[in-house]
Amino acid sequence: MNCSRNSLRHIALLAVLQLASLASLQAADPVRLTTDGHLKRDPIFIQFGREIVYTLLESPVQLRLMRLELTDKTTAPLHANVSKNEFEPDFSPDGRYEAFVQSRGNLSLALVIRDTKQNADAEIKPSGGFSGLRSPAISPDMKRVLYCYPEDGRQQIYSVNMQAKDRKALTDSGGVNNWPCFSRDGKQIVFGSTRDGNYDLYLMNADGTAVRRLTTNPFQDIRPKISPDGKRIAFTSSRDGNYEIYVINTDGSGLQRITNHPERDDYPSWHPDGGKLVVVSERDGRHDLYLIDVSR
Amino acid sequence: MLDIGSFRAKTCSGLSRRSFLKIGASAPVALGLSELGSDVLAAEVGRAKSVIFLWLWGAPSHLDTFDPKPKAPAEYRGPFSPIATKTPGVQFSELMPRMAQQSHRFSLIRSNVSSDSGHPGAGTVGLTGFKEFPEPVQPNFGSIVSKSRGHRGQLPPFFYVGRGIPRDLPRRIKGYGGGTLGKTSDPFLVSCSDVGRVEIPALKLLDGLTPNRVTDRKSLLSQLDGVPVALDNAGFADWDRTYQLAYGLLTTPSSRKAFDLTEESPTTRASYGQTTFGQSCLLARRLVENQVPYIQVNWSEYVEAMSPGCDFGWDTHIYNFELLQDRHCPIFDRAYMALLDDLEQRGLLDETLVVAMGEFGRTPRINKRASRDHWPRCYFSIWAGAGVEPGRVIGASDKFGEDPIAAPIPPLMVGTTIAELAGVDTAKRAEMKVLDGGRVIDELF
Repeated sequence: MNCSRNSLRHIALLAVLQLASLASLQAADPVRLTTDGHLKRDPIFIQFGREIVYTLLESPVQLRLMRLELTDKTTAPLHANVSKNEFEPDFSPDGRYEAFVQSRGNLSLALVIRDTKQNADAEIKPSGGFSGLRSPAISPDMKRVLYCYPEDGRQQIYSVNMQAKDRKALTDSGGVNNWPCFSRDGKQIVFGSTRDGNYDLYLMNADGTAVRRLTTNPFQDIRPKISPDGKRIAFTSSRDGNYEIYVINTDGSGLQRITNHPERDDYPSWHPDGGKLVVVSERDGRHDLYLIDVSR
Repeated sequence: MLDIGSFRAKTCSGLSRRSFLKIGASAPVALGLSELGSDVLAAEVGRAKSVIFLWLWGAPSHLDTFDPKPKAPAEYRGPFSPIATKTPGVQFSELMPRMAQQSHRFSLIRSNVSSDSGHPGAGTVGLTGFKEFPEPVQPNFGSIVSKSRGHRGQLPPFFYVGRGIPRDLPRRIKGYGGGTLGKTSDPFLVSCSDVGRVEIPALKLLDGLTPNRVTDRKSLLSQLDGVPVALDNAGFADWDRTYQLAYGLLTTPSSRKAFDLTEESPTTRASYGQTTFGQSCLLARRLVENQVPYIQVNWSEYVEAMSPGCDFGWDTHIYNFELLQDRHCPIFDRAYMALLDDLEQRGLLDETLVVAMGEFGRTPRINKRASRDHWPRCYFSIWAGAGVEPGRVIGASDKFGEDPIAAPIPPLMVGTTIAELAGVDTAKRAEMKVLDGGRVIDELF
């Protein structure tokens, strides 16, 4: 029974994705996945592309992680009955581990690493005062979690093991380092940094060595995500006047503009097939998830 | 069951026109209320028939928005690049692209200063012109304008559009309302959600009140017996007036209409953005059309930018740059320009003063959390409409944005200018014993 239901879901999903591809080829229009228009951020595919988890401003005081099933477009909270703000989710490839940011007190943000198989949480609690951890990213081998933390006027990228221990600093630069993202093979990390003045994209080895600058635009290049094949990076940039989605090769060449709209396009994230991006687009003042074909 | 504490974006679901008429016909009699507004004539009106005060609670960073310092050292300037504006030689941060393209339509002050560095204290200074002690506190600028102008039409003369009285986690600000002018000059609070649902908290205190029960005088009075305590707990000491105003809104069709954002075209609603602040600005414009003299739109109830139970104010002690680029600046940039466009297209901008500002700025030097703390020594305000000469930059800060290099402009001057434009001249202010010692910001005209 479950098998046949799953098969049906797969067929339905394939149909949706094929329609999306077809629509993109025919009209080059993104496919809208949500319709409520509320503020959203941080979408990411899970379940091998069958679902998307994203952050929703559910009420004026509540950021909630939501789960969108692509076959029937139903949504539900990822974590039921949570009153704390949760955002910036990441998942291990097999879905066993979740990492996300959770607000704990006044301007105090903790990093939670959840083992859904063992039903156990490992946490990095913020230090005293106003403090917080951001932008978690789980390594493909499920052994390390990256995150960002500000100290001494700078913000560095660190990694810990799945028990939130064994902290290692991967960057030691001036400015703000943020949005680390592993390549699929786990050997490289792309991130944004202001070390050279404004937000640009950089690539480094997974141990923090061999940092290479990928972009040199005077405006914001932020939120980079490496494609599943490791060849391309999707990111948000304000280089053309407002937030738009761009793709470049991992050596910094081949810049391609993906969106072109007077309203905002932001938070790109790759589908596991490498041919599509989910983004948050503002259209007519409403913020929804859209699927964009980038296979060509 | 009717929830009379809110007006949904859709037409009042569950409540028939007949029901409303029944309420309107019976309630004032049952309550012994006098008709609102009918015997109160507007005082002399200045150039600004209405004032919209956009209160950016929590304090936006001036360096990362309207006073960038691209030549300052890295530990000051922050990560955002400056962009050209329509005003020759003037740059804004790249986070404000729409406002940069339209800078010729408003004026910017870069030399505001406050005398208090804490939120509740600076909030009182920012809204009254004076410190919160000694008590009683001085009145909010809106209380002064509304007291002088009185009711025009059925609506209260001073609205707060927001989730509550501005506060930080420990306490509310003292200078939110009437102060020395008394509770009758307090603002009337309505909230507006991101989808344009308007709620009146005072009426929510009467949960369960249905049209049938409203017509049952005995039942209604019985329920009202419990209201004063509830209202007092909610901060409305003058419960009778608050209730009268709320009930007036409910029972007058034209008043109810002011709160129905579905009357707007989809294009207009979209232009403001589907955000709480955006739709609140749209509601403010509708209140202007309904001759409300003073509307204060609060960005948030709480200053705290990212704390449980708080509604994302501008107090960015951590992750200042991320919050500004992710959320706050795109929302403000869009809503502000939509408001100006809308007022102008309707011929209302010449007679409506629009002021946007927070209670102070943020530290030019980046703090140890790679963010920015409180900075009362220098910040910005934005002025448009009602005769304000657009396209000007008034005052300037020093090379790091730490202090004004021109004459500082304190909140007392802000309030005096607002009052003057709204027709509360020197003589009236003296008579009311408000804004003593204040002077108008002449450079705006």
